Amino acid sequence: MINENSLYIIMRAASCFFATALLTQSGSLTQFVAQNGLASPSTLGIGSLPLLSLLLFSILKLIFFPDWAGQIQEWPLMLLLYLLFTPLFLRLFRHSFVKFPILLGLGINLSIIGLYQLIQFIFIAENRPFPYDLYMGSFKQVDSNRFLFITIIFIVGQFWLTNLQRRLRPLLLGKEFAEGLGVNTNNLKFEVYLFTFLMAGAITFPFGLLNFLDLTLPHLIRALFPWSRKLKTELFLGTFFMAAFVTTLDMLCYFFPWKGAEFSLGLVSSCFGPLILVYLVWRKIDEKKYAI
Amino acid sequence: MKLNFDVLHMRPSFVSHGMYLELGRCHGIWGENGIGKTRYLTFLKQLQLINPRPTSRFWAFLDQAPYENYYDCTVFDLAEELFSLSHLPWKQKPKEQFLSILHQLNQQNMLHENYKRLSGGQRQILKWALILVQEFDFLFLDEPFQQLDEAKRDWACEQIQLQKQQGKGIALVDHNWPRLEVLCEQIFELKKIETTDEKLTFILKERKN
Repeated sequence: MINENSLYIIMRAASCFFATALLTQSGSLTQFVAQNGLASPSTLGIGSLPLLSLLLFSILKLIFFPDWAGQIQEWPLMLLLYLLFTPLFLRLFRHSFVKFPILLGLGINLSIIGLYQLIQFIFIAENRPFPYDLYMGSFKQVDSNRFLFITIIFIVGQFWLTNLQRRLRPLLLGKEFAEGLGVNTNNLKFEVYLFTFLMAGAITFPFGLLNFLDLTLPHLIRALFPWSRKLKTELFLGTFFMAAFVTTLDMLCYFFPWKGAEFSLGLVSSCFGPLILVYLVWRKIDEKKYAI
Repeated sequence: MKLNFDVLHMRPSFVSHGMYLELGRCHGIWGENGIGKTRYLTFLKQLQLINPRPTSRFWAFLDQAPYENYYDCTVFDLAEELFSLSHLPWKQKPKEQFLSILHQLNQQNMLHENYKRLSGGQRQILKWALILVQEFDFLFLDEPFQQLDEAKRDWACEQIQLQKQQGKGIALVDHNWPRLEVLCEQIFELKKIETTDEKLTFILKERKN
């Protein structure tokens, strides 16, 4: 019989694997459609939209239910609130984002982070508990509900991606070439952004923000596995290798705590993600003798 | 035959014009730099002013903008990846036809080159090869001879004549008047006639050979 601790470790490892795989796939897709190595849900602003939903939820809770002790899990409610953003997302992304993704994404990211700091200040001034957990992603709070949820999302996501990657491959030689073949590239871009929007919500609410993984891991796949320089292999084979690597990292965080406290994966990714990216860019500049 | 361009919204506002594209003919578009030939070609493509309208509406477009390749892969890998997509309008056995075009132009060495390291001329040849393996009724060519050497230019002119003989319609933007005269049955000149704050008015005038 599997004891409770083993079951927890299995659920945690599987959840980490599924969430990381979905994040990496979102990053690969956005970089491919934007034809830009800087594109990812975090830089496009999609990654910070769940944060906006968290802020709204916290404000609504403070106004209407100030004494709510939190008997039920809050993340499904936040996810529901996030899904209410979909019409706003559709309006915003349908026209503007397909044309100027990085610039607008940067604007949205900075505004949401500014708002986050302002509301955090108000909560501290009001002497109210502020939900910090979501800001630094971790898989330590995994339970059967979260595990079941991310498993279903992962399976649905893989079916969606199998279909989507086939339609995306004409973009291999850029937008103009694909349009010459009669492909509606704007609709495809929009579908990719919708995929990343839904995945960002489905990962962030149960487990928190995992910064930079979506930006860094696709680059790491291309650097470590040169044979994966095709969209299909990068999206599946390369991604599963990376997800296994991040899962091992999470297990190390679990088995080797620092003075009794566990490092969160979000913290590790925030620290090492940008460093890996800087190293990869330097290596590329060195190889090709030109700036990127 | 008057065409207004709404410069503010980068959209051609159509008034009336008599340029109808016909199958089996080549229509040339001529004009000075920056007058809007490419935009006009895109506009024609969107309207699909093909007369008579074919049953299948496939068209192919060879544009000026360079193709980008996000992954560092060879031309052979690119071709394999693209020709494996059966939902795209490829002819029968596109890979064999593609290889035969490169062989014909003595460019088979390019197959094992990284796409990013190809020269401008090689990229243009690749564009031509990828266009010629597509199924189409109408071909839109935006300055298709740029960066090609003399022999390749002659080859490209032969391809245009061949497509016409096969009953395909062609719209061709080029700056070389003598070449247009040889290739096209009808040539239109795009001319700017007046400028106001927000609108530029262009005249599309048929020039007789």
